[in-house]
Formats: sequence, C-alpha cells, structure tokens
Amino acid sequence: MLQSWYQKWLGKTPATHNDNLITNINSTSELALEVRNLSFSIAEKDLVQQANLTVKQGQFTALLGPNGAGKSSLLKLICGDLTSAQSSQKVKIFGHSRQQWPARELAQHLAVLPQHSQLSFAFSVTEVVSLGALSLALPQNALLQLVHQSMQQTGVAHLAERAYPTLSGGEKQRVHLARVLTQLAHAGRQGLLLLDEPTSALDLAQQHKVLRLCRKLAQQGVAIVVVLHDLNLAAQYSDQIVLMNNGKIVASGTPTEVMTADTVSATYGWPVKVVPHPELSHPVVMS
Amino acid sequence: MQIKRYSLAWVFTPIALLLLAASFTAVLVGPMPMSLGQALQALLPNNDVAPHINLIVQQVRLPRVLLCVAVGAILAMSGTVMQGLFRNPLADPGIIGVSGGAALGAALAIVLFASMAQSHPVLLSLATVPVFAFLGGSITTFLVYQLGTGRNGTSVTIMLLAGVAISALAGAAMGLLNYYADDQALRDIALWSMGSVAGASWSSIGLAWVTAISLFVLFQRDSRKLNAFLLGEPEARHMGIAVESLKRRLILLCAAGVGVTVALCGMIGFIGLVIPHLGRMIVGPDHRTLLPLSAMAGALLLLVADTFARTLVAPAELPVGILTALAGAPFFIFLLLQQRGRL
Repeated sequence: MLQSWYQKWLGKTPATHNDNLITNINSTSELALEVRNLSFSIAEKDLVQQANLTVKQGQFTALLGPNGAGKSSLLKLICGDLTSAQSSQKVKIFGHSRQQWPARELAQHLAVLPQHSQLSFAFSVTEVVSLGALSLALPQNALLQLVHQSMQQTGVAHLAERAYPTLSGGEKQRVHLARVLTQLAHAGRQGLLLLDEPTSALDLAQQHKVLRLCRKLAQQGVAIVVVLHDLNLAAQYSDQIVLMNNGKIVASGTPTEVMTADTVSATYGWPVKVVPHPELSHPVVMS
Repeated sequence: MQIKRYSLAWVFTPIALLLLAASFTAVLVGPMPMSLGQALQALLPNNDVAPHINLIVQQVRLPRVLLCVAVGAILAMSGTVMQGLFRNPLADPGIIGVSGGAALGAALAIVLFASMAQSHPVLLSLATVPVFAFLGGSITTFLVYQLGTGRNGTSVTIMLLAGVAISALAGAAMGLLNYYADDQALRDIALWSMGSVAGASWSSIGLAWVTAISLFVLFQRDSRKLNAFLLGEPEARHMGIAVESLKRRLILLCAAGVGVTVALCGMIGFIGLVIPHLGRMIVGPDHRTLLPLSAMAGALLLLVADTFARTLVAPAELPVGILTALAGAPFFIFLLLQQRGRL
C-alpha cells in the first residue's frame, strides 16, 4: 500500500496495459483514424451516440453540425481530452488504440490545434514553435532548421523574434500551426492533425489562409479532421464532410453528397437553398 | 514588440561575480572587523589567524553565507516552478498552502512545547519546531492537492482556491494559538514568522544544500516540459507529456523544498514571488535558463538582505523576512503598475 502511494505521488503509476504496447510504429495502416461505434455521455446526457468515422491518409475531413451537436466532444474523444473506458478502445489511430500508443510516440503522429491558446508569458514566436519539437529529440541545429522551415510554411517567419502575446489572432493561429507542423515533422504520411474551430476568431482572408495551409498539408499526406461552423468553407476545402446532430452522425460523404438542401435544412432546422459554386465545383449553401 | 534576449554569458557571468562578491562582503562585514587576508586564511585549516577570528569566520559568518545561498536558491526555484505550473505570474510557493501549514506547525510546537522545554530540555534538542513546521507544510500541501484532484485529474484552479481556503483555516488556528500563548511564546511565534538565517549550523547547511542541488537537477530535467505546460494543460498533453505525473512531481518537490527552508529559517517571503519575474524580464520564460538564473538571483537577494539584517542595527539583528519584504514589495508594486494594462 505504501509502495503504491509512493508510486502515485512520484507519477510512476505501475504499468497495467504496457504489455501490449506497440513495438513497430511504422504500421502499414492506410487509415489514419478509425472510430467504431463510439458513445459517450456525461451525467446521463448523451454527447456522442454510436459514432462511426474513418479518415484516410491525406484526407481532409470537416465535422459540421449545429451548436451542441457533439462535434467538439467527438474531437476531444479522439485526441484524449475526454476519455472513457470505451473511448480508449474504440478510437484507433493508424491502426492502434490510444492506450497501445506510448504518449510520446503518439505525439509524433497526432497533433491538435486548439481554438485559441492563452499564453501570458512572453515567449518569442520561435520559442513557441520550437515547443512542438518536444517529443522529437533533435540536436539544436536540426531543430532550428526545422522550426524555421515550419515558420516559412505558415508564413510567420518574419515574426520570428516577436513576442507571442502581441500578435493578432490570425498570426497566433498560424504560429500554432507552425508548432504542430514541427510536431508532425517526422510523421510523413503517418500524421493526423485535429483542429477545433480554428477559424472562429479570424477574418475572411485569415480563415482561408489557415484552411488553405491545412489543404496543402493534406496533399502532403497528413490526415486532417477539423470542426467548422461555416458550411461553405467546409464545402470548399474538404474531401469528406461529416454532419452531426444531437450526438449522432446524420450524414457523411463528399460535399456534394452531404450538402443537399434537404439534409442541411433538416439538420439545422432552418430552410436553405443549395446552389453550385459558379467557378469551383463545390456546393454553396444560401440561407 | 520585438523580443531582445541577452546572450547567456552576459547574464550569468555578472550575476555569478556579484554572488561571489556578496559572499566575501558578508564574511567581512559585521561587528567584528577583519581584513580580507584574515578571512581567507581563516578558511584554511591550521592557519595562524587569531582564534576569535577563526571562530567568527568558521562558526558564524561562513555557515550563514552558505545557508543563505542555498535557501535563497530553493525559494526562488520553487517560485519559478509554481508560477509555471499555475500558469500565473502572480503565484508564489505559499500558494499551495505550504507556508500557512508550516507556520501553524511551528506555532503549535512553540506554544505546546516551549513552556515544557525548560523542564525537559530534550524537547528542544529534538528540534521540535523545524519538524513540526515541515510536517505542517506537508499536511496542508497534501490536503490542498487532494482537494484539487478529482476523477479527471488535478485542477490547478481548484488547487489555487483550496490553497487560499486552507491557508485561511491555518491562519484561524494560529489566531487561536496566539490567544492562548504566553508572552514569550507570542514573541517567539512573531520572530519565527519573520524568518531568520541566524540558526545556521553545519547540519542545516548540509540539508539545505542537498535540497537545493536535488531540486535544481530534478527541476532542470522537467524544464522543457514546464515550458510546454505554459501553453495549457491539454496542449502539453497533446505534445506527449504525462501532465498528471508532472504536476504531482513538481508540487511534491516544491512543497518539500519550501518545507525545508521554512523548517530551517522560518518564513521568508517575496523571494519566490519577485525573483522569477525579474528572471523572466532578463532571459524570458524559457525554464531551461530561467531556473538557474532564478536560483542565483534568489541566493544573491537573500544574502544581501541578510547582510543588511545583521549590520543595520548591530550588534542586534533584524529578521531577514522584514528586509526581503521591504525590498520585494515596492518592486512587486512596480511590476504590477507596468503590467496593469495587460492583465
């Protein structure tokens, strides 16, 4: 008893499930994410009901739905912010359940871009981006090079020495994108990036900049799952749209399959018209 | 706003020199004047300096310098880690209740045993006050930690509030003890709560240095994780950090560190609050450089404060906690005024 108490305090919890830790990380799974029959409830309120979801390597998936539909809960179950005995079994990332992944290795394959980060300490932009390399164990030179590369990719290299708290919302989001890019640097095609309403505080141009970057990442093989509010943004950038309502997935497929006037009207409880975009091929929702 | 970081050599060399100079000054000044040559010789075994100089250097001033350096470093490092862990630049080591609990433990020991000590000197030789102070600090930290820990892990916000509540409770209990204490005990409690490094013995120095060095090594190992923790707990978890065990480990270490200093020297405030701020203004919030800088700056501040404490009203001396508060509080107000627009 004394030993277990001591271990608890020191954070050396005896490993209960370490026996089946994966030894070969380079699994050959084509599926970046597989969620099978996942339900989750808090205080008898069903937040997610029997959700099924697969995301392939390099696929851009948008989670849509009215407020309270369970999009964010589903995303949190995937990234581990919410957990239950069930969720750790039924969420598979590159073929392995969450508990099979050692935390540090998982971080090299799964990254999360938060809605917004409050950081009241005056890190420079470079320092924030380098935090992404925490799980990588890189020598200093390689690290600086990687950080610079990521910052160039998201267009924040010119802000390198700026104090993070003085940036605008859009700049902050792109700095964090550079950070998660750094985190996924060794993932190759085995990367999965989750984003929770990354564009909610951004103006029109910044929204497109962030999503275009994600699109570019998807082309490089990183699987993207993003919670969005704007139906038309989702239609423009996604390969797959997953529409949720009352904790259930009510439709999923390509934008053209999911975004029909009937489905969208029924889900949101508001009449809409859907027309094709005059120049691009995706549907446009008019309400 | 561009961030300008000084190169590490430019930061650490001056502060190391300052610390060295302050140490020599502290050995030299005092009611008994001596020359630098005498003091240096007195440090060597089998020297030919007058015996009273030997005694003062070896038994009084040098131990005091060494204790100051270790205690100042522990307090400043714990403060740095607490501010990082609570992601709040206004946190200090006392926030987890360790100071309040330690004060209560010490007061309990003073009131219960001080009167008995004259008839039973064995109680004093067991060093009941330090032991009770350490126990008090550990128990309150444990309580605060347990209150803040629920099914979904430890919430630092709830810990913060629990720390306030438990400290208030400890304060009430202290008030009760003060009410029952006799005049001598009251004075002892008051002096103890203002802190002093006068009790430096070689065994307390050993304990303080072992604590300081262990804390430095262990904190330094977690420094990069602590950097990531500043982004937020979920963010740190997504970067592959085991946040629950990190929190537990750092809280335990801080409580032990502060507990040791409180047991050895009583309550010395403001070092853990002010020094990390000062460090961040110079090298930024990166804990890999902030921790060593804080340790050195904390050591320097306590050493200078103690030198003034024992020379200003010599041959008597002031409690050093008064001087750290006297220097620290105005500086802290200055910081608040600077940040008023941003907080």
